[in-house]
Amino acid sequence: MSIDKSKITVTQFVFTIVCFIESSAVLSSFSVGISGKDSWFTMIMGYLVFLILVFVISQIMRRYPDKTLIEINNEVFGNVLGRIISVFYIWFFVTLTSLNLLDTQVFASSSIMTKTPPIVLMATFMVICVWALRNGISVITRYMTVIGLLSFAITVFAFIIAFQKFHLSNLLPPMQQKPIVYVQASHIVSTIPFGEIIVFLMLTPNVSSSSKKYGRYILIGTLLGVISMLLVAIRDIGVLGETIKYFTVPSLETQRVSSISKIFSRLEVLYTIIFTALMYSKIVVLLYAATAAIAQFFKLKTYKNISLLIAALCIVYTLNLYDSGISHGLSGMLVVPFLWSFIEYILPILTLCVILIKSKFKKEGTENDAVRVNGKRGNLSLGPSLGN
Amino acid sequence: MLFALMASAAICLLDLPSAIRTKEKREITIVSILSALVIILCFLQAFGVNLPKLMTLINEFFMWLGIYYKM
Repeated sequence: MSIDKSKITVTQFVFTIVCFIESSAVLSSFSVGISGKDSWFTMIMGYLVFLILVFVISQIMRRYPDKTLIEINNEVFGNVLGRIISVFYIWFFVTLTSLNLLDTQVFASSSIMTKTPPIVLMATFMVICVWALRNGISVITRYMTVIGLLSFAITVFAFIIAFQKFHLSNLLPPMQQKPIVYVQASHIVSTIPFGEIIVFLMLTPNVSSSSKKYGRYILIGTLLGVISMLLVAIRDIGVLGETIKYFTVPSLETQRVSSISKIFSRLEVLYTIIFTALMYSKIVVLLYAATAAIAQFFKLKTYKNISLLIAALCIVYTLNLYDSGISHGLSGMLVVPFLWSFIEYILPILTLCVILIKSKFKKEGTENDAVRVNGKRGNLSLGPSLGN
Repeated sequence: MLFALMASAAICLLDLPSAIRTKEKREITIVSILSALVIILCFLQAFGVNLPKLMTLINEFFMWLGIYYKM
C-alpha cells in the first residue's frame, strides 16, 4: 500500500529524473577534480556502468509495481532482515538529503548571499521543501517539466555564450592519464549522480502507467540528464582547460568569464537561478523519499505528520556531517563511492537475486502441486477403470 | 538558538497536532518520540555541544579498513 495515494504521469516521472541528474551536472567537482579534461569520457563510462542498475531497478519495479522500497524489503527479506536493510536505505536517504543541502548552502554562502548565516539559508530552503512535500508527490513533480526544460535551455544558451572563450585544444590530447584515474572517476560518476536514482524506487506506486515500462522511463530520463551533463562538462573544460581541477564550482567560473560584447556579461546569475531550482527539485524528492521511508518503517498512516521534524533533523545532521570542507571533498573523491556502491548497487542486486530465487522456488512448488493434483485426478479416473 | 526554538515551535504546532488529529495511539506515540528526539538534537546543537561528525567517522573507518582510493 502506497503512503501517498496521489498519482504522477510518466512525463512527470521522467522529468523528475532529468532534474535529479541535471542537478548533479551543476556540481560535478568530485569527478572533475580527478579526471580533469577527460571528465566527459568518465561520465560516459560511469553511465555505461549505471545501465546495470537501470536493469536491476526496472526488474524490481516491474515485479512490485504497487510497493515502495521499504515494502519490497519486508516482502523479499522477511520482517527482521527486511527492516535491517530498510535502516540502511533510510540512513542513505537522510544523508543524501543533508549532503545536497550542504552543497546548496556552501554554494549560496560563498557566491550569492555571503553575509547570511548558513542556518537561515538552510532553514528557509527546507521550509519551502516541506511546504511542497505536505501537498503530496503530484504537486512536487508538477513543476519538474518546467524546471527540466528551463535548465536545458539555459545550458544550451550558456554553451552558445561561452563559445567565444571555448578552445578545443583544452580537450586535447585525450586519455593521457593513468588507467586508475579513469576507474576512480567513472566509479564516482556511477555512484554519486547516477546511482542515487535508487531513490525513485520510493515513487514506483505513484506512477500511473498502464505499460509499466519502468526501464525505458528511467533510461530516457537519465539519457536526457547525461546529455546535459556532457554539455556542461565539455563547455567547462573547453573554457577553463586544466584549471578546471582547482574550482569548487567550475560552471559558475565558466559563466563568469563568458560574455557577448558588453551587453551579455556577468551571466552567472543564470547559473544561480538554475542551480537553486535544480537543487530544490533534487532535495524535495530526497526529502520525500526519506520521510515516506521513515513513515513506512514505523507503519504510520501518512508521512505528512513527520515532514517538518525530518526536515529539522536534516538541518542538524547537515551541520554535523563533516568537520571541514576539505574533509567533505576528500570523502566524495576517496571513500563515499565505495560506501554508496554497497547501498546503490550491491543491495538492489541482492534484492533482485532473492526475488528471482524465490519466484523460481514458487514456480517449482506450483508445478509440483499441479503434478500432484493431476496425479490424484489420474488415480481417481483410473480407479473405476481398474474396477471394471 | 533561534533555529532550535523555531524548529521546536514548528514541530509542536504542525506535526504533533496533525498526529493527534488522527486519534491513533501508535501514530501519536511515534511522532511524539521522534519530535522529542529532534528537538533535543536541535537544542544540543544550539548550546554548542560537539555532536559526532558522522561522515568524518565513516571516512576514518573506511580508511582504517583500507577501502579507499589512494591518491
